[in-house]
Amino acid sequence: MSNESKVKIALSVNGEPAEVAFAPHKTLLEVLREDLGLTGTKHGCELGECGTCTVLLDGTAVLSCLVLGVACEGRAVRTVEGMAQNGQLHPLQETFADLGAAQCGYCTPAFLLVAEALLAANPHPTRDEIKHALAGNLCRCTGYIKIYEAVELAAARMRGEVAQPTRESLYGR
Amino acid sequence: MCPAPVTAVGRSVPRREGADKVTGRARYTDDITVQGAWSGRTIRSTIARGAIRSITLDPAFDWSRVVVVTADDIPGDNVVQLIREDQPVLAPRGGEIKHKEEPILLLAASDRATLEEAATHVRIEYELANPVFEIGSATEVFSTVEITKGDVASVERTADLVVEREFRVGLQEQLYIEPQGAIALPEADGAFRVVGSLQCPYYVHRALKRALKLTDQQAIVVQAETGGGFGGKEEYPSIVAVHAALLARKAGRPVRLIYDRHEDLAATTKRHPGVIRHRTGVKKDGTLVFQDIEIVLDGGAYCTLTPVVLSRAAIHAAGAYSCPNVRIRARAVATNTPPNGAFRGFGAPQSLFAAELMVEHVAEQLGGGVSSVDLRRKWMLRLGDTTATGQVLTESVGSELVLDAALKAATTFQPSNIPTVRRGRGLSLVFHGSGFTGSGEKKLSGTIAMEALADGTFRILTASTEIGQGTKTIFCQLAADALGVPLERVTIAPQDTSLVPDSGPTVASRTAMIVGRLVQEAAAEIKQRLQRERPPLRVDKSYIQPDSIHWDEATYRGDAYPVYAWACTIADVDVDTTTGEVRVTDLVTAVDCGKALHPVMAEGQIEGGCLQAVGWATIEEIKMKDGGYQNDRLATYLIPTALDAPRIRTVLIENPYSRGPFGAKGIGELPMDGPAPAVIAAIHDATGVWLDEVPATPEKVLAALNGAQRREAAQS
Amino acid sequence: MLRLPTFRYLQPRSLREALAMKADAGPDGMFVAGGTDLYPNMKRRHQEPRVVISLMGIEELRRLDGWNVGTCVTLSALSSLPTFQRSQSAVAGAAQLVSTPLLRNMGTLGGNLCLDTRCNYYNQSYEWRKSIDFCMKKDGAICWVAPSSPRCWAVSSSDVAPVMVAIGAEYRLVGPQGERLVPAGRFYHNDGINYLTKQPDEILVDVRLPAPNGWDAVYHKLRRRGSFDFPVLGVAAWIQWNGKKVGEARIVLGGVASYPQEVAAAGAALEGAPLSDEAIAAAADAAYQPSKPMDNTDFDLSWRKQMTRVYVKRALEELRARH
Repeated sequence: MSNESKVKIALSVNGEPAEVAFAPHKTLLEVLREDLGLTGTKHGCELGECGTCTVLLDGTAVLSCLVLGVACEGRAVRTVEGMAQNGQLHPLQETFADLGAAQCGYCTPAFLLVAEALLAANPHPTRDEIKHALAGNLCRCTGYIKIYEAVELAAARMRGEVAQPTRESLYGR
Repeated sequence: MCPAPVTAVGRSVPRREGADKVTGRARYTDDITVQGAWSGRTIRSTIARGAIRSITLDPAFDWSRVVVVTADDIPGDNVVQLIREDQPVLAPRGGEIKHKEEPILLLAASDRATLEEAATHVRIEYELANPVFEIGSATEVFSTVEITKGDVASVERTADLVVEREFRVGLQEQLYIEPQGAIALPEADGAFRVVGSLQCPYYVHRALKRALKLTDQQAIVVQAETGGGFGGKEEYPSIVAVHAALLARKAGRPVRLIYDRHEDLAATTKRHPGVIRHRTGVKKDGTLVFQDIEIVLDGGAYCTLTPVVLSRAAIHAAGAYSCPNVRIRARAVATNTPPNGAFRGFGAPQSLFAAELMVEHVAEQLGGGVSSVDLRRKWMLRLGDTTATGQVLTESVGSELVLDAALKAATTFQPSNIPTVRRGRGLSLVFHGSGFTGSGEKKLSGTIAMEALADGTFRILTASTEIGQGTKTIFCQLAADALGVPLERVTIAPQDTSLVPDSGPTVASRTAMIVGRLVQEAAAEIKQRLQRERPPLRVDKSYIQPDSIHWDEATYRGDAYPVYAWACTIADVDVDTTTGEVRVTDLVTAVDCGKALHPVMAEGQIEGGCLQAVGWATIEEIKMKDGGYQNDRLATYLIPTALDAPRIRTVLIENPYSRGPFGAKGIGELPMDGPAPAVIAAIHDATGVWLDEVPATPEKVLAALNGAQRREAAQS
Repeated sequence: MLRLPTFRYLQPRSLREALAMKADAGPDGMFVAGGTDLYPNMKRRHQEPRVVISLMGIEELRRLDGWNVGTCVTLSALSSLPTFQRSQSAVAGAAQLVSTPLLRNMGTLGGNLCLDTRCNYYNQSYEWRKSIDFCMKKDGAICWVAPSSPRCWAVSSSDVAPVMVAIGAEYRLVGPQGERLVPAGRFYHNDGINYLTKQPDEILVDVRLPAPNGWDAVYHKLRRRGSFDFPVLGVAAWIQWNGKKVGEARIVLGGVASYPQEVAAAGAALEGAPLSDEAIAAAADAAYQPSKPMDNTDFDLSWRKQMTRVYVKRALEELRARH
């Protein structure tokens, strides 16, 4: 977009201060992916109908496809790239990877961030509360079961419990 | 040569690319940045049938900033390489338009704004022709299949009861969350590298060679991380890739062609809708006398994979049952609607839906306390029985195992305590042929390679792709155990046609079982050779059809599949009798998978497939308007959310198959087959009304309930 | 990726500044709050403002003062306030039923109250609409739902608006001519294009909810899935109790017309008597008669009409059960 004037904003991205210049009509999704090189945030519909582009804005889960980049001046954005700390996976990342909650993986960053926001507000969610919290994110691979199990196990570990996943599946003959 | 490793097979080891997927490092097609790449887009027909009279590029627009590709710019054949030669890469001037959204022209520009503006300056004029939209009025036939066992005509009169029924199944969109996309890059020596979201690198490879007139070496296809496929990225990516490459060729620079959701929904393939008629004859005691089945599938405007879909539909049409006299007549017809194509199950969900509900109808009409479960026990294929194609089942027949396991795992049925809500339970028993149909695997002769490297590691080279189902992990597990080395010492090469051999497409529940077996065999051979040789070593393995498998393409007789996987599904539903709304609350599914190579991934396949099937059975409905889809966004094409998904419990049954890797059978598609008929049976159990179609929308359920009430009132 | 067209984005800090910006921009300017309605519409070229004026930076619009709610309060905030869950449960409940948690974190009360009307012939991509030569709501001449109709039949799809009409909330608007208070019922027009009586240069500042005072209200929503979907029918029912008897009652339907449709006869059928099964049936029947959904949303229209009776009955039964 060379023929267009850009705006420049300062914001915090994954805990680090950042300055970024972009065309003023760009969404946060586009700014993250195209101007900050953070492609962990995915796009699925760009209309707010799938949840795939979820990020945390000042700790709140929002659809980055419907937030303007310019509206993020001075705000804190958290993407999937910011979840692991010092090379250590976030408990949710661990359980999503281990329990089969990520299959094709395309919706995974969004689910992780929604789950993170949920656990920050409610460290001990019931299965039903998890379902309601995740109701804005579509997954076509898992049937959601393994995602619930991953959130529940991560929640237990984050509470300091030694926990095993609650199994929906039976293994038998 | 090394200490005995912990066995990898059968353990739910970490997913190979799992860490990349949970950290955002995984690179899907649109995540890949390419310096100097332009963006492309496709201009499509707005009519369902006719001819292109003229294509005009508005002279008022500055076209020097844009690359335009028409059919005239195709250096090779204007054909999408697949089964038949009917589908053009781009509809030529004067050529026939056969469906809405048919690609006519391609544009690329350095920036999106120019591209969008250019698109508004293309004018296409058509000569309109009368389109055909309904199966019933279609005259063109893509293919037919006839399967005959015994002689229906001669035994018809010996049946005490003949039940006739017609079933209808609707379109379904795969709805992978990552839309289709490809990036084409021109390289030295006239080569093109295409990176894309795809299931079958060599399908794309062949399509590029044909349309762009390239040699084997000049066409390079690389699979990017792929955000779901479910069949939707089996054949369609060939079109995306060829379009991107044509633009890159003319532009002389890389071109990205990434669909948005609207284009993906409007233009790409769907599950074949169809009409299936059954006539089943039984004795008073329930003994199956004959099955007479007619299947008509709507292929849409072009052939794509329709004949193969029809074939699988026909072979599964008699269900998991042993009947002495079977006649299956199937045909796929052409309509002026966007082409239908591969979708998990590939015809089998359609025909099994009808077959399973037929068991219910026969049981109901027989009466006398015979339940549909009793009937299934009586009819089910067992070891030594013969299928409709005359295949004798010689091993790993899990019909009874899965039926027993599902019944055992189902929780005690609790009736609803809400007066307006009735709860019901339904069951289905299905089988699904693993691997390609008939002589498909033999013709294909899928190949993999394995290398023992000097550093003590091993590398698998295969074109089988990871699309979420776990290929990369499972192949490494198989190799590690066959080699007797720790899992960490096995790696897998990228799915890049310049590096890996053609292992065949990643479809048909064949990857773990057919290609996985090759991996196991190659690893075993390497292990043996390492006893006397030093690395580096390479072993190539191609599929060789065992002599015991016989298939006659002409008569449709013989071993249709190497083996079958089996599933029994029990669905509980709540039906609101005042609104007709159906909520699937619980699913239990017992699956004979041969061997669970990775139990968590096997369950994941089953749970995900079940939910797709529940969606198809309840809410996924495409409405047509003038030959196009009215649903062009996720607000109108609805898939289940977390709040719509039932509780799903999986029982994995290990019933080894001797030629599967460590006994495993393919189960990728199987979970798509059983839930829909189980849901319809559960609705009947709850309300007493039959729907013989999916989706079971509240409108249809309520109309059926009201109809039943009126009939009751009339009788009393 | 679907992208927004180019536009100028302005972030006023006060109402006065916002009004001045709108005056400058003229008809090319539009106000935006959460953006969850406007931006998707802009991406599909349903709305094409050259200047977008964000209201989110205006403190006054985010204020919560007793039962006066600023219109830039998010739907999440509104639905999670314990005082509202207790004493304005219909408002909190309707807000909770909008779309998804993510969207509610962004979408605002004002945005939902001013939600653009929706239609199967309008909420389509540009190419799709072009292929049918557009419709009168945008770029075209006729209404495809009712081709002989002089007006547009796009559907009011707000969840919260029917509740506001039912409970008798008042909207405070500020415009270049000053301030005015409008009863919620007079804020909407039965016209898919001019569906608001608000002038384009007026700002909906806050909503004044009636204080809890012997009345009760509920909202029931019909949609295909547990989340995401717009209402294909919404029923808001309000009752001013007079002991065991219904003093006054209002039944308002969403998703069946271009505005939240109050069915006066349904309310009248309830007044002056206890909420008996017969009274409920009479009200449900009265609501059923004028409920005339058109064939332009999800689900078959005759089924949607039938559901009016079921949903009105359920709403009233719930009110009775908790009285």
